[in-house]
Amino acid sequence: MKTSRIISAILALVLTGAALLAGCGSDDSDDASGGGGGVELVATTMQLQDFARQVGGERVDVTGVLGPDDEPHEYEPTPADADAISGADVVVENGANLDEWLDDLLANAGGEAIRVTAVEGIDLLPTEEEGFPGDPHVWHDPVAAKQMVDNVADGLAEADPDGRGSYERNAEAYKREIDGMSRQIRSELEAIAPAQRKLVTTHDAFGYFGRAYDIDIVGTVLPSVTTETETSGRQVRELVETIESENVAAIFTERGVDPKLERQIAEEAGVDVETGLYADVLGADGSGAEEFIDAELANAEAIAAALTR
Amino acid sequence: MASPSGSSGDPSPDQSEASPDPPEAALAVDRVSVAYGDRVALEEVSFQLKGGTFAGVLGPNGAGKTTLLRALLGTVPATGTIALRGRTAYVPQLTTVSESFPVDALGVVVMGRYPRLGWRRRPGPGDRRLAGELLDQVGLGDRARSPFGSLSGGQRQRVLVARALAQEGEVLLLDEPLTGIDAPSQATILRVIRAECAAGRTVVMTTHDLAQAARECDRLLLLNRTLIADGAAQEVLRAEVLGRAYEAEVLLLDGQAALIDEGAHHHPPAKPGGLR
Amino acid sequence: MLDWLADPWTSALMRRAFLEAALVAGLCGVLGCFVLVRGLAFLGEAIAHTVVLGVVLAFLAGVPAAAGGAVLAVVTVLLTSAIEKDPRFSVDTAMGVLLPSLFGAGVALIALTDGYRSSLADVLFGAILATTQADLAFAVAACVLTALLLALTGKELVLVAFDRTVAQAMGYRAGLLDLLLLGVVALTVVVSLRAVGNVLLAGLLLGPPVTARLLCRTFWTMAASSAGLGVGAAVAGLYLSWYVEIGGGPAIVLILASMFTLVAMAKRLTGGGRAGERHNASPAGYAPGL
Repeated sequence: MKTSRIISAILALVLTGAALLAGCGSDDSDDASGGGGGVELVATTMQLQDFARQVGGERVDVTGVLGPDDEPHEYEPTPADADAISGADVVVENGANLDEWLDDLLANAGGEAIRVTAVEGIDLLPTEEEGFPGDPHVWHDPVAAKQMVDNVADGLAEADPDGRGSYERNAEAYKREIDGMSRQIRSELEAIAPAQRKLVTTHDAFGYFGRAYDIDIVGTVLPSVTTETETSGRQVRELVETIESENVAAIFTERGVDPKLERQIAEEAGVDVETGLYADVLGADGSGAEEFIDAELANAEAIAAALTR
Repeated sequence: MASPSGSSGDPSPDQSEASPDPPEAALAVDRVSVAYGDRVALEEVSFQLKGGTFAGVLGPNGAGKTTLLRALLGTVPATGTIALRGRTAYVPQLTTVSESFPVDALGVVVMGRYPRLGWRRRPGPGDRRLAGELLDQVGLGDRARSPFGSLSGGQRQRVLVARALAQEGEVLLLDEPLTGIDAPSQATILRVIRAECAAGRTVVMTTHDLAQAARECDRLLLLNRTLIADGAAQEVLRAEVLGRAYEAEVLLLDGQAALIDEGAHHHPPAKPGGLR
Repeated sequence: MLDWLADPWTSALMRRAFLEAALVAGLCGVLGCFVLVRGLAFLGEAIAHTVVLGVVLAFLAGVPAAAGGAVLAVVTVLLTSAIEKDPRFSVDTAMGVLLPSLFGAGVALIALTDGYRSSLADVLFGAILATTQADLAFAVAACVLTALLLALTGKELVLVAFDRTVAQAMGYRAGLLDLLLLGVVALTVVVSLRAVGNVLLAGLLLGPPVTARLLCRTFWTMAASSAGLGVGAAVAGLYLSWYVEIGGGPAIVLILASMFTLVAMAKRLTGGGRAGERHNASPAGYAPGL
């Protein structure tokens, strides 16, 4: 009968399609290439993927879990991720509950990887959010970023003692680059008058940035260090009042997020919406911000441009 | 092609002068067949009913009684010719109506007015007054505001009959209206039916109570996929005739009641037909 | 006291949210009654699942999300209709296989689509506080369409729900009326999803009707009460969100749940209502399906 044919066809199409799509996995960054001889490293966040490449050089094959379209706080691991982890020598996570989904993934995937927690040794900014030992967005502070680079290098050296020298050299070189970045950011932001050094962002991801570069994060649209939260009417009211009373110039949203609520709040408060900060992820291919340093510089440029207008 | 209610029937050529009931057929069915897929439910059924007739449709379960009504209403595709004079109102089996729907007795009867109102118009005070009167007629005037679901089976059946009357049709079709309801309700419904017939309307009722049908109906139609017999009670309720319809042992008692044992055959066993 | 009542209305954002919530709650309140008496609750859930796929497809095609959602909603309605009519399929099984597949396909597609970031919170809980003028226009259009349909065919829709057999006997095309009803239900679900999200949709679509059923005896008083309760809960919920730290959608559903509990308890305490009356608030007692 016609009905059953149509239904069977739809079912077959959907199930086949879904199976194919799911099987492809959601790797947006480098696949482990070659494989022979190189140290297999899996890193969760794009920042860590970049650090691992900078430190590892040619000795290390980096596979990433998160891509520019993934929200670290809400990520659902795929079978491809488990696959990569089971074959990895080193797994690098951010820690502080940013990538808490890694725990289950590690448990299920098996394998014998060395686990590196990038925030180890770093003093976390406090947060009230349940489940978080502190604010996990440490990489926006260049001092913390350098510590993360060292942690990655240590982890690689543990997995591959022969490469220790290379890793330490690469780490030192990269840390100098980070210092250079930090100076450049400071000078970019110098142009902003003290009274204007205030930031309102989508979620509370820039606490460390603010502390490092003397910018005040006066409020966030999502009232938390995580995106898995909902804003109440009261919080909207308080944010609008803050924006008005503190004369904040703009609301900054994160790249790739549809700024629906931000627009409504900005309209209410009479300010602009600036899109394009790299908060939790780095840029997609072709964006010019595929690497950590470029993304941080892009952020600084955008902030300076908006707050000096 | 079956023509639904609303079309006029073919008038018979000879008109009677003084008869209060026009002699032309109010309902004419000619070689009507209905098939559900491969299964033939009705085969070449033909009969005619004059205005004012109370016809009872009898037959075992699965004989096609409900199908015949559906064919008359046009809700099921049928071959052959069906001609109905005037509007047709339908009283369905009680089990097909929702018991827990939020509606009161008056509301149900008012629903009978919908076809006359058309799409946009809402029922008015006139409609509600008529509905109230009809509820009085079936003895439920004081229950107008009672939720439909709170009424007993017999009361609900009476409300459905009132609703059918509200449609002011020329033909009234009822599907097993007396089955399983209390005796006073049955009596009320039969009284209403007789009044309708007296006013010239044609009533067709399906039932499996042979004795009751014999007592109340002017005409009996014995159905089992085909029309096995058509006529008055004494012609139809005969052992050999019933035997053909029920495909079972038929025992006649004092020529009026019959005992039927259907247990041996593929029809599900029915209640013994009306031994009173 | 007056200050306390008036305060949220000083915010343009809240005014939009109030209006959207009221429109959506009113729609759901009235149509939810049809969904309830027709046993169509699963359909609301079905559409909520498949709309996700529609939104992603719309993104890929470069058309507004609402268009994709609406198309998938219509597809779901037609599919459900066909499955229900075919006696060889168990609706539960068919839906049980189809819905997760379509939803899964939507989620998979989201993961694979470059440049598409959906906020999980928005999908699940809606974003009533982010209501735009465009959203309001969409909601108003849905209300107008529904009002038109009910003005023309309202009493017939009730008739078909109560006694489909007789409706057909009277000459009404029950199948066509079904499709019209399902069409506005689908539209309502799409509009409501943007406001309150997947998880809370059922609450808004069924909560007020189920509560109103405890209070009313006839369909249209039930529909009006349901709409009233829905709008009341929506407004109260937003007040709650303004003064306490709860998101808009969850606050509304919290009020709805409290409402139902209060009414149900009150009925119990006052002797279970009118003597001799038997009706139940659960969909199980109604004429099922299409």
